[in-house]
Amino acid sequence: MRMFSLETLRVSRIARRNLFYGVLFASPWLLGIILFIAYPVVASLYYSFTEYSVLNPVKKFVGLSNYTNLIFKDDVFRRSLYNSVYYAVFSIPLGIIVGVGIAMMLNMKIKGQAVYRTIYFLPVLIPDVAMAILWIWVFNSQYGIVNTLLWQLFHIQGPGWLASPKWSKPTVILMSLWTVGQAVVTYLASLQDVPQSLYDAAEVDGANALQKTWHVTIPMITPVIFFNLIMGIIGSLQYFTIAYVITGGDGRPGQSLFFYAMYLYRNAFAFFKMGVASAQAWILFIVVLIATLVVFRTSARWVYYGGEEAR
Amino acid sequence: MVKKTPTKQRIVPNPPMMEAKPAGALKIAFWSPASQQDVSGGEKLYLLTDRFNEKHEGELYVEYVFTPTTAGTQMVEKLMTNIAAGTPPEAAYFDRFIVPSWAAEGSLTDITELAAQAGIKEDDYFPFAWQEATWQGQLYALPFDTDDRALYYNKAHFEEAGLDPDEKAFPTSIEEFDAMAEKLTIKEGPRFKRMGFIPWSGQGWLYSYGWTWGGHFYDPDTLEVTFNDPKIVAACEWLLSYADKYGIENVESFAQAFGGEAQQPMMADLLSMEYNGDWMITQFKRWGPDINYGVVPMPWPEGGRAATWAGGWSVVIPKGAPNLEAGWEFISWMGAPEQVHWFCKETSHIPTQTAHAEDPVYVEDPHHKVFMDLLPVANCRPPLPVGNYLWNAQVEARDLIIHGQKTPQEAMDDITEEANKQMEKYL
Repeated sequence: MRMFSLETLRVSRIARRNLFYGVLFASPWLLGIILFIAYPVVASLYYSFTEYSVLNPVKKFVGLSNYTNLIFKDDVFRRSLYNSVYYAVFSIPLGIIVGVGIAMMLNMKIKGQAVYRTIYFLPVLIPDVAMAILWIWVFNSQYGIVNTLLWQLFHIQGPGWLASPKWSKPTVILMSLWTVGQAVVTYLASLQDVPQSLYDAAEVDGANALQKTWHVTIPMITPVIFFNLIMGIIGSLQYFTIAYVITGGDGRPGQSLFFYAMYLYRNAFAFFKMGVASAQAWILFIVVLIATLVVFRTSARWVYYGGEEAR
Repeated sequence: MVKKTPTKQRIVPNPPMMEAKPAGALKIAFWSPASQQDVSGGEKLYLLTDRFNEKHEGELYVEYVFTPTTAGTQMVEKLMTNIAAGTPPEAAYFDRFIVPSWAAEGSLTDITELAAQAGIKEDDYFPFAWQEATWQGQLYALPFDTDDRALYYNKAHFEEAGLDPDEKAFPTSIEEFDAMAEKLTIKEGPRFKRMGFIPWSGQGWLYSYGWTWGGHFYDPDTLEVTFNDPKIVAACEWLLSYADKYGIENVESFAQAFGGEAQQPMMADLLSMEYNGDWMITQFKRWGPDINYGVVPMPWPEGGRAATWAGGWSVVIPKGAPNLEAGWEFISWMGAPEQVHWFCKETSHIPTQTAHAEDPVYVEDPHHKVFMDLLPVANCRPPLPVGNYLWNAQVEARDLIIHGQKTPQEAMDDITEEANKQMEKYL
């Protein structure tokens, strides 16, 4: 009994010392997260209930009016939210389909496999701003390579792309596919983890290639699709950089490229409405949270984990 | 062992970096969104700063700091956050029309007293320049340069189309002008090869046409914003008529070929007429020296007038600057007629001090004379705390109107309502 308590005492002393060193060594990170993440998050929640211009330190408490004005009275808010949701709804599924498709092709045992994989990953390494400038020219309706090729090869008069409110959102969604390489890498890793035994069993059962893909490959990579879906929701609702550069910040033409994060930024830094911008940030957080929770809820029905066979 | 390489020689940028601050001098900072590489602005400001330093050797040393603005806004976030944090520079080069926006938020130093002591008077300046530098009767900035706007047209295109290229023959009625624009437009199949006029290219902001149509954007007595003035709405309708007549999608596709420098629409022979600023004269010299062009006031409809509007910059002391006296020493020197005059001559801008604007150098060029003649009737953007908002709002409204997302009346009503709501807290 005595021995035991001495033992625990010593252990706890060591544990305490370990804890001390642990915290000490983690302190730069802890300080960083408190100062640069936790504090701004809490502060923005407070600001969202105030009228705060940044320049003037006086913050006037206005209750929920920032939120109610945005949701019920502000059509630019609604328009920007619509644009962002539109972008998410189309770019995420397309990204998944194209990403999985490319990953499957890259998974084929052919010559030069590594070269193809590199090529598909390369665009991910290009900074967003440089990419945006590049795309402006690719889709330039007068001199752009896309319209030039359309005309020379098929005698089709290409659309205005970024100059037309009807085409601008599809155009940026198309652009987003160019950086699908990031997801492709994760799909590839997961494709290589599909056990050969399952394919062999399917073969014995007389399954053709399509059936093997649909009943073996796809279910086995659903955890990675799930992961990319969640990341896609978070990322695409915050879509900002490329659209900002392409439109010079005002989301033209006809505000068709005025995305949620751009309006938030503009309120905060051009219109001195940090309080409203903070409220926008929290609304976005709630939207992302709900979308993510819904996806999580449905995941039991379609995400298949190898370890759950017994269920 | 790795051999130690000798310290690399610092690359001398163009223009060369200032010499290190002499010992004993007080060092202050001058923040400017004009890049030192910009020959028609920043470089000259930089040289002025350098000259100031030479004169104050051993006492005061001003460091020129380039702080870029963000695309799509007139904001310098760095300046804004530094003022909020209480660590601003002593002086800043500042877009004049947003002075009231910042002053009303208490972010600029009130220099009314200092200016009075130095003998700087309202009468010395163009009225618009002084208006923009003040808020509620207090002075917050020293006006620097200015500029104004008019219509450029390509005389060769006029001859081709069988129109009289002479300035004196240029119509003043907007209906005749619209017909001319149509005549100058050349189509190749469904595409434009050249257009006579696009109201929203160059400096074709809502402000430009609102004044030309005889409208008033605000009431100087009540400080009420009046963007839904019927004349301004009519100007918007006129913009929309171009969008409808030529097909907005076709025009926007065509306008994608426009760029800067030699790709400017008039330099690249894509436009026959463009509403633009006086600085284009320098651009023509550089990028279109062979183009025979004319400059006239923008034609107006019945009830309108030959109008223009002036912009320009100023020098300010941000609120909370660590050394107010040094800041004043510098901005009062910068804003003095001598420096402003030199800057304007070098960069083809116009001084805000009326006495110097009369210098014959500004009317030597017959094109520039048109701008100088218009200057006395120049308007300025509403010198209100919502000035910054209004600028962005009118850019946005123009885009929404021409793309049919809002009717002119809706768009102007919305701006008026929002701006007056925002104004409440300042009145």
